[in-house]
Amino acid sequence: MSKTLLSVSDLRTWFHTDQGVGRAVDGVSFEVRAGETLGIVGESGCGKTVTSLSILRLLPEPPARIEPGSSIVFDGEELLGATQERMRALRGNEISMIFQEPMSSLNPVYTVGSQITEALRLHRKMDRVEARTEAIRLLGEVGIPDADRRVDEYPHQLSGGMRQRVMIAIALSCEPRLLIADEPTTALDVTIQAQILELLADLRARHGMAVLLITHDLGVVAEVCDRVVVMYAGQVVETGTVDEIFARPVHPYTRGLLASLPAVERRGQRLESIPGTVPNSTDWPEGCRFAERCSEVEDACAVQQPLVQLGNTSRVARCWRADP
Amino acid sequence: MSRPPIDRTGNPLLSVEKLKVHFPIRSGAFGRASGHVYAVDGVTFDLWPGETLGLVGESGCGKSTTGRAILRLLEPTAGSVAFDGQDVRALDRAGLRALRRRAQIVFQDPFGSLNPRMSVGAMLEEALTVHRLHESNRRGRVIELLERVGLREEHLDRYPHEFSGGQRQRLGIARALSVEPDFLILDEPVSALDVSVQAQVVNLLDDLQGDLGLTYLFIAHDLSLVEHVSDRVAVMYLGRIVELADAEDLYRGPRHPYTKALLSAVPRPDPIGREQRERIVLSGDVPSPSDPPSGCLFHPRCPHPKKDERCTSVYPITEGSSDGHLVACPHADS
Repeated sequence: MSKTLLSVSDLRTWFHTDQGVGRAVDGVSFEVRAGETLGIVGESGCGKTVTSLSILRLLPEPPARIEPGSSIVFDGEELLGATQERMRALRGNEISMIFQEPMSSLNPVYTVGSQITEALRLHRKMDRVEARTEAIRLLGEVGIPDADRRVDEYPHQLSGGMRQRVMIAIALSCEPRLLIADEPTTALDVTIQAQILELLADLRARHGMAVLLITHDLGVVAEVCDRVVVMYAGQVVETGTVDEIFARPVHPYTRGLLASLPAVERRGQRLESIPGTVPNSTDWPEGCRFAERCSEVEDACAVQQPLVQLGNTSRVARCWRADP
Repeated sequence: MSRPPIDRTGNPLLSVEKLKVHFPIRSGAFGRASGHVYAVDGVTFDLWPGETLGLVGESGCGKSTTGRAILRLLEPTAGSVAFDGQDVRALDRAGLRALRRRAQIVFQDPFGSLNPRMSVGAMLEEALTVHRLHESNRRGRVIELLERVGLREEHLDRYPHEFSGGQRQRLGIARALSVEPDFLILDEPVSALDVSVQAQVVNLLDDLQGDLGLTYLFIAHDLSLVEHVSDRVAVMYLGRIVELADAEDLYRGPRHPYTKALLSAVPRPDPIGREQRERIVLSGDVPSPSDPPSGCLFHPRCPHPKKDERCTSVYPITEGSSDGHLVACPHADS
């Protein structure tokens, strides 16, 4: 097993607002190993994006606060408590991030070239000419045709897929060891999504970087991830390899999610649905947070089950009924 | 879904023929049209009572514009639309109002399509008032509608912001149903919802169709979902239908190179099979509908080995096989 690159343990990111305390991320632990693709999957409001933003400390504090007791260790270094200066040196250099909507992450008044060279000059101390040459090379690497012409274009002149490629080029410019991709293909059409997923897999193989992929799309997870963390209501409910999770989901939430997907084999049948909606983060239920939507609820569910290891495997699940 | 087979011997409920919607691009001081966006450029299909036709394609292919043009929420540029034998393009105001009692639309964004200042009860009653329906017992009818879509009487006096996304979509459906239509255009009805909630709404739509005998035009970009809900599926690319067939045939044996690529690009929740699966990754982006390529609109991206000069010069005729599988490609496999 390759070594652990990022280790998140008992991460609690709470939002302190006038309406109360939103416990968006509430005791999340997982690790990312060097070179692997780990998927974090869950529905809106489960805390997956807040988790990723907490790693890079990109949340406005206040209202957000990473509570004492949380820990995020990257390559042996504790990031919580690191200085702003140190975080700036890590961001982009060691850990990069791409977002769902490339148009709002790119600056509309600068050419794409100048946005790539900015990172190169800052982090890799290149001069203007070197940086431009490198920017063109990077655009070529992420599959942008006519890179030497495109480098002088503005974001609005590019299509959605092209913009996401530019974001990836910027993220890769300093050869990070970890790329956090938050819903990188959600805004894209399916044929363009296929292009971007293929590009990410290809780049990961070539550069040996680890990828933390945040998504709500179980199809995308199945296509590209090695391991999966399933989140619900601010907590991890289940972790395992992608094959295990899809073949033998243990937690009723994971099972419900998979069953609610339309599938060829189930054509002509009703879709399974999970009744009700996700509870509010200012008011998580006592005990198991999924209990009120769960069809297998029992008395023990009034008490929160801790994450337990399943037998002799690397899998963990948060359910009394999960058989070790 | 497992519904009785559709009887296609009678007259179609909706007949769309060579429908075109072109938007002028205006520029200069006098607003002269300097070009056109060919959003919908010759769409033809029939829809029979009780049937669900899925309309799929990527953003900008003209699927939503087609839906809107059918109800004349957008004026078609050319072509014909017949609803139950009646020429929709010739209708006057009164005729349009009558049409919209029978044909309704549900939009994608349940946040943007409900008036935030109207309570649920007022919103649902409004349609009844406009169409002079249930004049003696409107409130009773509104409660019945709420229950029909899985909401309760106590929701009557609440406002849209008090509801979750899935509940709002249920309200959108209740509003469309309030005038007792025969036909619903569902424009990405569940795209904004989480998957567990998506399934609830899809099942609701299925129940309603079974109970009320509704006919659906289901517009969506999610191919697996469209497969699940549709009897037949039409695939659009740059304003035209490139393939139309029975849902099962289309997904099992797509014939048009675009449909093949589109289906192979759908991420499947099946990690074991991912190594074996053959995936066609198309190069490049969809061309601009204001400057479409010559000949077959798909030719610049087409990976078909038999692509020839004909493809770059003439738009292929749509040909049908005996089982009603229509495809616009001379090199399509049969």
